[in-house]
Amino acid sequence: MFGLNPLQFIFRLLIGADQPRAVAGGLAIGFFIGLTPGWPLHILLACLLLLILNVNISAAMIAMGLAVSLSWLFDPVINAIGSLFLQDIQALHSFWTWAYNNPVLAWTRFNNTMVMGALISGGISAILIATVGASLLIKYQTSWVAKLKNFKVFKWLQRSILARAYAWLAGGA
Amino acid sequence: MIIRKSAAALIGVSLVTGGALFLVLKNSLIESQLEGLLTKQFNAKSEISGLSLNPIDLQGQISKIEIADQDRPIQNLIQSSKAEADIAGWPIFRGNLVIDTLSIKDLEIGAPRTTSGALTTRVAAKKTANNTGQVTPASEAPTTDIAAEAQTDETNGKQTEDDEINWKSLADNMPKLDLSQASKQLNIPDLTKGLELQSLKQIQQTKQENKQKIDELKTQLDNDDLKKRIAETKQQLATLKTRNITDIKSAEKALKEIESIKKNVAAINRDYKKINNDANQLIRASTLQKSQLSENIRQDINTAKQLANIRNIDTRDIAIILFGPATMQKMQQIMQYADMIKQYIPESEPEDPNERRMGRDILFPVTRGFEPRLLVRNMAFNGRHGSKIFSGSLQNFSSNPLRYQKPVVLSLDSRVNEASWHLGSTLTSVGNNLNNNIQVIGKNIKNQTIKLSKRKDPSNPNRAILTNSDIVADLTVGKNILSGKIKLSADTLDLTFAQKATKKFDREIQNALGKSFRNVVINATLSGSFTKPGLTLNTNIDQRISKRLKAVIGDKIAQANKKLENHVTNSIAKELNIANKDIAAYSKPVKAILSGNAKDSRQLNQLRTQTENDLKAKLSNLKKAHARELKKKAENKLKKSLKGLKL
Repeated sequence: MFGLNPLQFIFRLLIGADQPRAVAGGLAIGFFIGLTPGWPLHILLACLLLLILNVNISAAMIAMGLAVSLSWLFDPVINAIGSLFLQDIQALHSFWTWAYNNPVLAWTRFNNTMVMGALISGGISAILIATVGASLLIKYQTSWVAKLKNFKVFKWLQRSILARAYAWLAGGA
Repeated sequence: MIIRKSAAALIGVSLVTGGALFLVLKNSLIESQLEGLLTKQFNAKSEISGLSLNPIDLQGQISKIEIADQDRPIQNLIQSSKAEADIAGWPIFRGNLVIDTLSIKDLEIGAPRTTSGALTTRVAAKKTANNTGQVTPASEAPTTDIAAEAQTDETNGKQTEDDEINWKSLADNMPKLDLSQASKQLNIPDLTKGLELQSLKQIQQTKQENKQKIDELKTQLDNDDLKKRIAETKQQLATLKTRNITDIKSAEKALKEIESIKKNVAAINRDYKKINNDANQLIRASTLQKSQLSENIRQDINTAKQLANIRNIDTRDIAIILFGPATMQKMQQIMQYADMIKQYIPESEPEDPNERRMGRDILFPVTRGFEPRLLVRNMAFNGRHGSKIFSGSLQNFSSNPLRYQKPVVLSLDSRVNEASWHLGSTLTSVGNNLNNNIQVIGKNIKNQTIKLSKRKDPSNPNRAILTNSDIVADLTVGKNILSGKIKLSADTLDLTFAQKATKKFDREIQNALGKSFRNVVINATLSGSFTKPGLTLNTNIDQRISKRLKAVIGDKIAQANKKLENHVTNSIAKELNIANKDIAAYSKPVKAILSGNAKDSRQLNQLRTQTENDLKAKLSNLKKAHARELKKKAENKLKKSLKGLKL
């Protein structure tokens, strides 16, 4: 029932069932992975982190899908960012040359403008999502979840046959 | 807990399983990787079997290696069943194959294959598209291996035609000497048939120009007012002559008019003289002189000599004539080595197409050594090809020499009977710099036969046999330019003839050239662009051959040249005479006009003088009559006065 995970995730997010930091962490890593084309070394490491760290994988999947869509939309910008860092900033050239000749770093394909652009923009976005997202989720859970649970619509939804069918299909939320 | 223990354990187990699988499958994986790289490199089927690698140091053996010949897919370019390799470990994980040392024993060249070594349609089509820089649509690609092979051959053939030396054209354009010609009684008019003499053209052209000038002069004379002026003056004189002059006054008036007419006649005489001089000068200048044609006559004689192919025995020509085509053949053979080596060195690895979300790879300076997809650092090999036993080494053979930058060094030694051959090459890049060196050295070649000429007449040597010869060829090659030299030395050189001489002249030639030449050295240099290289050639037997030939045919050639010169100069003199006769004919009417003018002028002068004299005589008579009348009147008057006095 993998396809139902996003729905389950949204529902659990609404009712505050998951750890805010785990959700934010999943979103951050997923967004980072989704933004980068191909499978360079740092993305494989990010995937390992996703599996090893106790972050929300459903959140990561949703963020990954979102990032892939956004990267198609913004790839000229991402490419320009990569080109800026790799070519236009002269001060970084000696560092890039060193990295280029490093056998391990070469596997990251950092010298590709798209990969570098995605690394920069995805990295910044991931940090923002992990920090700001976590604090927003905590705020939401402390001040909004209790109020939301008292809404009649929400109560009706919880009791509805649809919710019970979903809980049964998903193996119990 | 921040870490998922189960996931970490699962990843650990996966890594261990993956490692174990790699160890089990590594031989097949590396075999397949190696086959793919070799196939791409040689553009022909490459098969590796029986690879066994030590998992620790990755040293191993290959039980069979076969690389098909892309030009002849039914045979292998190389084949060996005994190879040892030391493969670098880490590059494998990066998708590259770096072989530190490779030792191939019992290498066979040109061994037949059981199946075709041509690539499958897709691979061949892709390779062809890469070669031409265009993408071949799948629908246009050939459907069978044979078709792919044919297309490859066609592409290669076209490249040869466009980019490489046209050896046949070079050989055909070399000077040739037909010695048999000197034996024949030369029929000069036949030999010079079709010759267009420039001197004759110049004569015709000048004749036309002069005719035009004479015509213009005639028109000018016809339209001139000289005749009119003469007629008018004659009329004036006639009027004066017929006028009824009865007194002195009218006679003096007429004499005054004569003075004025005299001035007109003088002006007419001056004009006539000028016209006459100018016209005579032009007619004289119209006559053609031989000295005016000297430059063209000299050129015509040279052209006629070329057409008749009566060449002087020039020492410079001998080497080219005798050994030119053969040297080109040697150069061609050596260039084949260069081509063979060059075709396996692509300029760079093909770049990935730039698709959306692919970005651009920025290349930074390589400081720690660039790693190509395929690299053989050191390869040693030995084997047999027919009766030849060979051994050699190859260093820095890579799929991307342009970026790998280290020179590809090949050394190949072979032995055929007592002769030894060495092929060495250092290929730095395929750019347009002369920095790729190829050296071929052959030592102690017992009998080497050089084909000299395709002619089969008994007076032209068709083969040279070199005994105990050495050959050293050094060639420096860029992408489109080359520079090279060949030194061929031999203890003796014997020239042989295709047919035995039956005529005296042929026997003389065969005797002259048939004796051995000792200590022969032939030097050739080739330089310039690939398509039009310049060839210079010299030998230390030029003088000797020339001397022997001159002794036999020198006099005959001198005589033939003299005959030819006379033939040309006589033809020109004849034409010159005809042209001058024509010009004289054109000038005849002009001369008649001038003559008529002269006659008119003379008549005018006579008339003027006669009229003047008549008038003067008349005046004198009138004056005398007047004096007599006055005297008579005075006498009468005096008589009357005397009568009145009556003394």
